[in-house]
Amino acid sequence: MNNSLLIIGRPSSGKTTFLAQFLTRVRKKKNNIILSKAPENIKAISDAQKRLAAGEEPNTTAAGSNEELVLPLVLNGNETQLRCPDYGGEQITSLLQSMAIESRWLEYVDSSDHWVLFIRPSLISSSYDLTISAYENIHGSKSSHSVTPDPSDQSQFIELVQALLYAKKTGVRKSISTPKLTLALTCWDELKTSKTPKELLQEKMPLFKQFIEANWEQSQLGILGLSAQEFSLNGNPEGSDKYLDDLPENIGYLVLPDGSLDKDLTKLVELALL
Amino acid sequence: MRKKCPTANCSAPKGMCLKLMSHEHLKCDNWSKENSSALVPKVVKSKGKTESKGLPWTGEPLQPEDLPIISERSAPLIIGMVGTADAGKTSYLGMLYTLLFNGRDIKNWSFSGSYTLSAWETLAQYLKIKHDGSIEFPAPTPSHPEFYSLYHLALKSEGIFRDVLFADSSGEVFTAWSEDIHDANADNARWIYKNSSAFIFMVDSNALIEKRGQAKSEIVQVAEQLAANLNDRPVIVVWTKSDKAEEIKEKIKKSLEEDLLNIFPNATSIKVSNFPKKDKDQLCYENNLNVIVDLLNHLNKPSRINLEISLEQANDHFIDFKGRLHE
Repeated sequence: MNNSLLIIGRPSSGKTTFLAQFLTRVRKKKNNIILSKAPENIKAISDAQKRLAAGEEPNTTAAGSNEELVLPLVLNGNETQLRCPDYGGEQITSLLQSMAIESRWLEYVDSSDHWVLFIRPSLISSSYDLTISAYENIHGSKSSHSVTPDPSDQSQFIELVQALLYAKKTGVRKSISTPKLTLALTCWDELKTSKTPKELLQEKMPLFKQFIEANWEQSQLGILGLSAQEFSLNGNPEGSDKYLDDLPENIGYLVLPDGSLDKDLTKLVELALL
Repeated sequence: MRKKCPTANCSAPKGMCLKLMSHEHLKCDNWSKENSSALVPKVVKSKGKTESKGLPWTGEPLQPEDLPIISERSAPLIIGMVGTADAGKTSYLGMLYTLLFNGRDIKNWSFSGSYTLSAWETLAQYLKIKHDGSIEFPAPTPSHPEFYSLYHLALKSEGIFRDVLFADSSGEVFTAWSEDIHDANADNARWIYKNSSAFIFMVDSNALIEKRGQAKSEIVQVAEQLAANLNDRPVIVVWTKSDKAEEIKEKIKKSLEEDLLNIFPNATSIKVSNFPKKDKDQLCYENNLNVIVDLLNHLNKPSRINLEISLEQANDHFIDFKGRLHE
């Protein structure tokens, strides 16, 4: 049994901001999940922590930032660790482009039985096609050429999970119990929605949702919303003041499966580990 | 990085070069532009000197030699797409993926994955509407006898797992095969006929409007050859472009229906269209998916499974991994 938790996500999916907020909270030792000792290296998120403390928008993680973040944690007396080997998301992009898995990722997926996949719904583009609604005045013609389109976001997420399962040597004939999969639908505040996380996933990526629900045991699959920052800090002096006055650890929320909000961001990791 | 040709639906270097219609992809401009080295490395060094291992699938259409990827975990159900040229076989597959992509379901079945996602996306892109309100249907499927395109869907239903492969090929090849099953240019038609567990037989409504009796004659010829050694493999007759069905002359339509009933007495017949005229257009939104439901209902019986191409054992590809990656 490998009880470490692996954070996975494409670039700009909100991993760095969440991790900065998470570390601030677990240091306070007020939640069920706490930091067991000081992490060896937090360069990956220290800049984001400092910027949030100053009421400034965190910078986009620079390309080529390949350091691994490891947070040693304790949940209900049990030691575990959170690993984020690719907080820039570039290695995931590379995997999907090359259809090849770096050997270090084989080790990452092999040593973790809990995966949290970060998905930023506001960056998912939908397709405009014949099946979305009715069209009476379309005229068709035969194409004279053949081109490869850019893959859709939806197909990329399916391919990513298939590749990770392959690396984990986990088949899909039977429902998957290990690894446990949690989807974090990030930057929830951008969505301006009253939908539950599952409803939103159905709207944005119905085939991906069908794919994971078909393959995972219901109890081993979680779909949550996450707003680690709660609002944009770009050109938002009131927001900056709120960060300076109320402190970052009091800002941000989780959207639970029933749509209710929970200010305890550490619950994302707690629920993913249980 | 695993190298593959950038041309859509080209399966080089694993399969045939689409442009040259041969296995000599090294002579192809499209290949050499993108790949300075001809070798496909199994283990490569990427930035930071990290080793990588390629996935066993690329997302492009599978070739017959790729079947071990599937058959190591289940005996795949191959569904042969049969019909005359331009009948809509490839467009049907594009519409099938588009419907699934947008949240429509295959009744009682759930999508469990695909090893040919990139290929499905290429088919579906043709059904996207351009700014001028036009769409482009797929270019004709190459008629080279060694051109194979297998599109994969993994499906689940109440604990049952099925790997389904849709075998697409050129209508010209099937017409040539229907006139001479030994035709030297019909290798892929013979392979599909031999290995398929079921068939989707496409009837082109538009051809019946434009070419009338001539089109009907060609359709019947292919149908008769399909039925010749069918044994108990199921067939579904799919009338494509049925938004125009009313324009088919009644005498032609009735005669063809009678002929097809004689040739395939047990087959379901269904009308489909890629042009929905209303939000709940049954021809598009329901019937395209019902084709698969009908076939799966027939095939979901152990005796129907084609076991001939199952290589060793029907264990899960991943579970039966034996501690190494397939390269």
